[in-house]
Amino acid sequence: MSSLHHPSDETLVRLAAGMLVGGPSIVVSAHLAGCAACRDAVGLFEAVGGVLLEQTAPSGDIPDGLARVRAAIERGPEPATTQRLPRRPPNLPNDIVWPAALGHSEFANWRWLAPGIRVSKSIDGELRLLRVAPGKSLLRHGHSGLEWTYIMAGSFVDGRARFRPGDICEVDGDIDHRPVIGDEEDCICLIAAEGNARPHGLIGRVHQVIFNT
Amino acid sequence: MNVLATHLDLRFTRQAFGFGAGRMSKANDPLAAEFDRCVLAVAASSDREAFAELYGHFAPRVKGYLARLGAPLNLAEDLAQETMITVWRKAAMFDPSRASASTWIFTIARNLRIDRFRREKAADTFELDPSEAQDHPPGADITMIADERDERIHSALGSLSAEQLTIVQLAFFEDRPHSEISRTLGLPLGTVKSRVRLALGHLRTLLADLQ
Ligand SMILES: [Zn+2]
Repeated sequence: MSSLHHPSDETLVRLAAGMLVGGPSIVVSAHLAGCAACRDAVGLFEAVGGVLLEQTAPSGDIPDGLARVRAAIERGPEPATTQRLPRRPPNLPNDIVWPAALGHSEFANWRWLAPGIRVSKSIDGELRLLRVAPGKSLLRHGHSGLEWTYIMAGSFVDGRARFRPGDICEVDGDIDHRPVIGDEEDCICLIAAEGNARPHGLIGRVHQVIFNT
Repeated sequence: MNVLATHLDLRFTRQAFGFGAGRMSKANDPLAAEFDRCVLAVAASSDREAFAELYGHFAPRVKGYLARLGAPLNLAEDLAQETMITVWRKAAMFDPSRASASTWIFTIARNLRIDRFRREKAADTFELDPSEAQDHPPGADITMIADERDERIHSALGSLSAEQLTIVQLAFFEDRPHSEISRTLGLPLGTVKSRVRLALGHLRTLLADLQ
């Protein structure tokens, strides 16, 4: 399954630089797992980071730095912190590929949002899974910031292109679009956004649409 | 959102990052291969001298890099120390065919910095499986590939225009790069996005054969 729609170079460079964090970095990482081209690009941008590190003027010495590092090494590793157990929302299709990037994410049960539309939020609030029935269309307005959608199952068309499993749909503030879900099966996608706290992302807007029309 | 980025010193210059004359390129610089060798020696035999050499070179640079991101001095030192402890503990995961020592240490510092500020270990999610990283034994010839790549990147960055170099650097040092690019370069926000696309596209074209 090779993807047709990738994150922007800017997103990949921010990921490599450590500037893309939280939900967006997880959504983009889900795509990277299946996309060698984007993994290579991130590797290249990480090497740019290595060169920038190499070119950084050394700062003053750290007092007793090496001795303290050696002492810490002698003491042995810190006890591992307990990780939250990953939890998927129930009743996912059997053949769905659960991204490894979601290894630490815990999702709530599906919540009904509108006929044919359900949502499951990660308990840290960083991520949303959206499950929409075939043929449905979502009214969608502009965005307050960047938003990334990773398609796990099904497909949608948003006027520009058709997005399929493995693809990333990256949209930014000035794009208005109106995704229509493909006929074949439920569309399940993983969404994260950056930007204002106004009811953001696809879900917020679905809410707006439902309660305003 | 990003505590570290708020006190960023934006006076990016070629000089500040050593892209001007005077610094040897990596091919003429035996240091890159030497640092690779040091990490491999730490992995193979817990070589303390090799580690001291790595520490002497990288600890002050990681500290300087984090300070450039706006980290207060004690935090920059703290994370630089943690970075070097991780270099020791994870030396066996270093694969010189995939990344040079400086790139590998950059990613360690990056991940530790993210961990410090986020509950989620998001950065780990795109770290490759170490078992996959070890599928070819490192050798001197393979080591050359990643070091040569760094050298190419170094000269590609040096051949970007001042504006494009600033754009690339801001992507690494700014949490919200667009407004800073707009401010630093005096460009209207509306044109920043296309300039970023052009700058990164240009960089990737210069390095196309490396991907
Ligand atoms: Zn891709």
